[in-house]
Amino acid sequence: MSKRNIGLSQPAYQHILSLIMTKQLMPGDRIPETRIAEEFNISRTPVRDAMRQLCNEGLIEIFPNRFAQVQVYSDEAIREIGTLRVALDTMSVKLAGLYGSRADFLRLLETAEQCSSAAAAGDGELRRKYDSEFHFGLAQIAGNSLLQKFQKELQLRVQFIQLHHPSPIANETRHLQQHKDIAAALMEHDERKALELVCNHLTTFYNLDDYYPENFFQITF
Amino acid sequence: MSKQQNPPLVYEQILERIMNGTFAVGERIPESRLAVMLHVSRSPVHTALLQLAQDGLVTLCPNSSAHVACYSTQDLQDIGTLRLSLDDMAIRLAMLHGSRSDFLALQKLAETCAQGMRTGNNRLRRNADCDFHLLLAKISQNHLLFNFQTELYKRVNFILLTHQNAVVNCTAHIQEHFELVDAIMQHDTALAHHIITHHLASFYYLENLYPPEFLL
Repeated sequence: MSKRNIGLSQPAYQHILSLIMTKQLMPGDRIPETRIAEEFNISRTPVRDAMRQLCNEGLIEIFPNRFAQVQVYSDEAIREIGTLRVALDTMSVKLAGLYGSRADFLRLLETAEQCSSAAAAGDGELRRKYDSEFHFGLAQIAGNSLLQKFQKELQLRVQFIQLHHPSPIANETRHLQQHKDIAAALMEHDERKALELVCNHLTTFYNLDDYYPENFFQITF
Repeated sequence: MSKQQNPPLVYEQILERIMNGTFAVGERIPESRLAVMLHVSRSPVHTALLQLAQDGLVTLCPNSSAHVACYSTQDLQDIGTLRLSLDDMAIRLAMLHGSRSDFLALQKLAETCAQGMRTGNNRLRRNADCDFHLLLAKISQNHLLFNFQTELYKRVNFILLTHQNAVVNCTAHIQEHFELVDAIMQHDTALAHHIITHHLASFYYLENLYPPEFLL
């Protein structure tokens, strides 16, 4: 039996990912498995490998022996992601406050500024890229490699939701300003403020306050 | 002629051999010999090892050989710290979504864990310990959190197997499972938070690592 060549699935993976993230495939759309196999002149096996990877990353839903479609996120599923992000980001901020240097926070501030600029220029793709970079940056400063792995596993899901299920934020500029405020608070060693900001940043974006009781995300007791 | 097994079954069989000590910490996993033992070709063994590496139980070396993972102090502390944040969230959600039946199930697992400790049955103790914390994630009703915790607890179970830690055989540590369920049932957020923090900080020696205010 032939050995699976993981290398063959990568171009297919990148292609399907690109179709999804450029809205050529929308939530609920079927993945054109056969067409992709033909385009790349590969068998359906590496295409299936690529789809399995995207399924693990939360972008595709596979119906065994039938077909695969772009994931459709319910409100509940989006809320789950937001809640998990609160847990991971608050820990990232706590650790960043402990282990981060001034240089680290200045770099974070720069990423925050690039995110705001991209948004102001109407470049959604760049804004999402810097947004991810900011939050992942916190995990990097935190220095916890498992935390980083888990954050990475969330990243594509988050970008997907920002693209395909955007929830209108009352004031996007102010929302993105919070990135800068978080970096500034960390630089001033005001960890409590940084924690409150990141918590507010996420609960606002994911409308968690509407769903959870008051003080659900209370940070200290 | 070799029979082709489904990769998931091969994964389970290799995992079992790691978790029952057939392969020791740091020991090289002989891919070819394993394939023969499991009556499969090397390909599904390799796929299973890739997944086990993702799960943190196997390390893959540049020369393509696989070894049972060996956790450094940093690795342990990283895992313990992550548990602090995810377990805390699971508990908050469990308080919100848990039913009386759920809490009784938790108490039952706490009792099984204690029984394992009393009878010196380490396998029973650690499996019940992991099942206890995983049940909290299940009661939370956050499917993504449950998936992430399932991933994390493969590592935790491995740690419980391979690291001799006196804390787990300490009655007080096991008792904390019961105290945690009580706190959840009484909806005492502050107390539950304090218990889980102490429970994890003591096992992973996080009190040596972090300043006191970090663990509040």
